[in-house]
Amino acid sequence: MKNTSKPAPRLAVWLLAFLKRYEAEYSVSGDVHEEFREIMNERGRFRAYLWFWGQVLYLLPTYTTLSVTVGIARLESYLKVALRCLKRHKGYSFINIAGLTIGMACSIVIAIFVFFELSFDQHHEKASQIYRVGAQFGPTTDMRGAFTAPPVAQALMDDFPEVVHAVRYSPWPRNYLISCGEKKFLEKGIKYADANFFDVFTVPFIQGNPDTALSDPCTVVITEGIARKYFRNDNPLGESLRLEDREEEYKITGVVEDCPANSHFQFDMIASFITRENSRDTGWMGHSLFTYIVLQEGVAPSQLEQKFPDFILRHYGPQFFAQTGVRYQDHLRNEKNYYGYFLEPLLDIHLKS
Amino acid sequence: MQELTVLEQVILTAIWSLKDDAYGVSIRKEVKKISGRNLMYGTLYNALDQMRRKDYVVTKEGSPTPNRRGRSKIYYHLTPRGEKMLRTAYEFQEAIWASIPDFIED
Repeated sequence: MKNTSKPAPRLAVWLLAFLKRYEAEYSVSGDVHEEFREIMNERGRFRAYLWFWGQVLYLLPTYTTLSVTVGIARLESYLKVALRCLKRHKGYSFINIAGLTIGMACSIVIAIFVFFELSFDQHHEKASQIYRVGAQFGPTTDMRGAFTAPPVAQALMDDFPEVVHAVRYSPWPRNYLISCGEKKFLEKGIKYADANFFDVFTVPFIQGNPDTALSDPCTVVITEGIARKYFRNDNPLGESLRLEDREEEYKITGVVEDCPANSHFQFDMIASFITRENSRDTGWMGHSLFTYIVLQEGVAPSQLEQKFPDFILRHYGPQFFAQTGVRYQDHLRNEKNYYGYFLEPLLDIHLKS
Repeated sequence: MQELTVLEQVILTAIWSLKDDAYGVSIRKEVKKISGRNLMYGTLYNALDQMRRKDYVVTKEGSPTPNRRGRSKIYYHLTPRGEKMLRTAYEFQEAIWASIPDFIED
């Protein structure tokens, strides 16, 4: 990169071209070339080249420092102008800024709300395959309810291989007096669910084994908040909570994290459903609880829904006949007596049920 | 920000003593003479930029010479404010060292 006629390191000179501010305001190439000439005359070409390169290499980073400083100075001056303007037109500025602020704040709040509502139940692993079974009691869809009878879950799992899991959840609000040793509290968040509840829904366990936690009767899984309420920092696993109203002792088999706000479940404790006689009920008329199913991947809910009328006929038909003496098929002839099941996707439950 | 850094002092002193002949190359030489420092051009230009912004120094363009490949020289002059700052710095230094006469005898 060294030219022989009017020697100056060409590459370095080319680099200098980038330092616009140095060139325009301080004439860098002029200074550097002049001194370069002097050094070449005094100390020879090699030293001169060395010196030239040294200067240029140092100039590059210092140029960026300069640009930054200049940029900051410019910002400062703009800020001063802006502040001066605001001070001169206080009233107008205030209205303007206040309006914008309120608008932005409202938008943000609304956005947060919308995202929150839409994010319900997303945290379950199998969320896209989970459906709640509901019953329709008339010809139109506004006669729908979310409750189903106890035997439905097991029957679904037996009859349909597409149903991978079916779990029952009893959501009724119950006010029970719970006591543990000296502490007694009136708890409202007690729910009952089948043992495979945690196969269907993703609930983070802090202690205990999700696969076996609710397998036995009289067992309960509690949330962190409850654990702290009754046991402070002690280990609650294996302790018992006593349900005074029903005189039952429940063994604690697991501790889970509190339900997140965007979950349509809000429980404090889940106890094993088999503890209640209701779980063994075989009547198909008593719609008393929620049934959730996990559908195999790739199966559309409508495919299963098509098989439901036959399913109902098989299981409920005989009971209906036994009770009323009327054959179920004949009963259905009357359109007003329509009765069917439908599947509701988990993710639709919060907003569309 | 009311005091001059040592670098600023040296550069301003050089500009002052060079009177009408203060430009890049000469300032470097003068600084070398005063303090023995080999001032890099990068440092020099940045310092000059700072001082310009603080109104200690103003620039003026001179005429191009062949030595500089056609670029014109840019000359620097002290402003009255710059002169005042320099004077303050000098008095300050004097005040410090005057109070410790023994030190100098060492």
